[in-house]
Amino acid sequence: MTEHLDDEQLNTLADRMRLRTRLESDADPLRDHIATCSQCRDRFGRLAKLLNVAEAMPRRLEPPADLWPSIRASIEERPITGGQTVAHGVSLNTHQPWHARRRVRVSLAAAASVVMAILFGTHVGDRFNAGSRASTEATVATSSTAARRSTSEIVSASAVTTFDTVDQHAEEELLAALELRRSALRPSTSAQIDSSLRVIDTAIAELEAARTRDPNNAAIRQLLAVSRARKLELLKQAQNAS
Amino acid sequence: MRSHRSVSIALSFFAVSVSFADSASAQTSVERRMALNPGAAIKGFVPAGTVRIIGWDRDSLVITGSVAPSERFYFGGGRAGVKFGVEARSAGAESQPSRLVIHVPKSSQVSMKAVSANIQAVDASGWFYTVGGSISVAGRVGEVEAEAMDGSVSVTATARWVRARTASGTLRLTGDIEDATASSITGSVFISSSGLARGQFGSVTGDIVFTAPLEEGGVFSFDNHSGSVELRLAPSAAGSFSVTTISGVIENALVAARPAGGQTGRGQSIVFRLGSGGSHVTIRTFKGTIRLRSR
Repeated sequence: MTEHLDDEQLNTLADRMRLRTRLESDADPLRDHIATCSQCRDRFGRLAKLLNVAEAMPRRLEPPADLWPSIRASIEERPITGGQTVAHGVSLNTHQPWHARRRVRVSLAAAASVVMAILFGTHVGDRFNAGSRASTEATVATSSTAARRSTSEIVSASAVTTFDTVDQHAEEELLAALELRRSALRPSTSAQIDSSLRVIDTAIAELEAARTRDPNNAAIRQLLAVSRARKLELLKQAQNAS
Repeated sequence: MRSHRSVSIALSFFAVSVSFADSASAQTSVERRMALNPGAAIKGFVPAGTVRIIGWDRDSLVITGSVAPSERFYFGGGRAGVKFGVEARSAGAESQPSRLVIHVPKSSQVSMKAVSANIQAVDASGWFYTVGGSISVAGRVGEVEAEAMDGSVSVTATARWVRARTASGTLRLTGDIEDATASSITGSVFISSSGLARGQFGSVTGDIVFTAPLEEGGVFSFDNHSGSVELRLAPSAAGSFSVTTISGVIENALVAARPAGGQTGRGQSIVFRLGSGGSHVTIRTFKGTIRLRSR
């Protein structure tokens, strides 16, 4: 083996050593390579340190089991129709009392925080994703800050904006990770991922153009947030494809 | 003399072809057994072929089957967790199909990854991932997360919690599922599960077809970009509906009220109620058609 080990091979080696899936006497080209290549040995050392830190972290960080259903139910009970008069003849955006509107806003902000915490909790849990820990801590801190602010006076629009910013950061990280792993992907899988990304990017571009034309349309904002979340899901899914 | 020679040539060809066929079909048998703690983690990687995971009431893990001669089976771990898999003996070689049957304790958490292999799980909870194969989950399970890129995902199980995703593969939820999230990029999503209390369903260009009952107190949301969303509801279905399309069309055969046009002259929205109680349903598309129909 003359080339350096890629991330996946280093992860495999780390797993083998931790779980002892091989005996010391078994031939292992990855272990042999580490023994002779100082660069890979250094990278493996850093990975081992990261895994030790990750091992020491709590296994799961979960919100209370009954939190999300109540948040979602309170969001869903105030359907947003872009402020249009609908079959009931009631504009839901303008005829709600201030405390009801505020409750929805706080719920949206809290929902965004919970979603982000779960998203990045999963991200932290991904022990193989070396190098992302520092930025993950930063984003978790951001979500904690957002959670604190949500109890005061976050409005729904700013909650969506915060969500967008954090999403974008995660998206950039995942896209960079995809490029790093691309050489380990089958050509057909790589093409499949690119094709799906093109579809979703086209959808996001259309939604962004629609938001520019109609910036106060909450339904467009929500569809945009959903599409971006779907792109993140796809990128996370692609991480496992190598 | 000439005919003797022809026969001997034919026999030689036959012998060579039989020998190739033998080497191609020769498989290495696999059999591993290990007792596990309740809730143990079982992590597997099988790139190609078929993996059948069966949950049982015993406390042991049993793996049987065969792998191709060019592949190597590895296995390790202890009572708290096990990792196993199949890998090519030579780096970079194309994976050849393996056939594994894995019996796992029902309480264990399975994490099974494949590339082109099909995964079939019965009475087994956990995370199932394949790039190009298909995933089917049946039986009685707790929590299931199933992800495929261009393969299909089918959940016919009785499950408490299901998260299913595809990129282009078809996604189908039947059985009895309490909390479901199913999304795709270009694949179609079909939902006909009973017992749904919460559901989030989405696609970007694929169609979504929902024929499940609307349970009392249920909360459902449907999001699509250019694919359609179609609800085919039972005549007795009850619930409140909030339906919006930014530039598409709503075809509503459930109530007489007509959708209102959008402020910019495009798109439609409508809010209405069917019966009393029931579920809360939110549907949004960008330009996909929304169809609301009775079954």
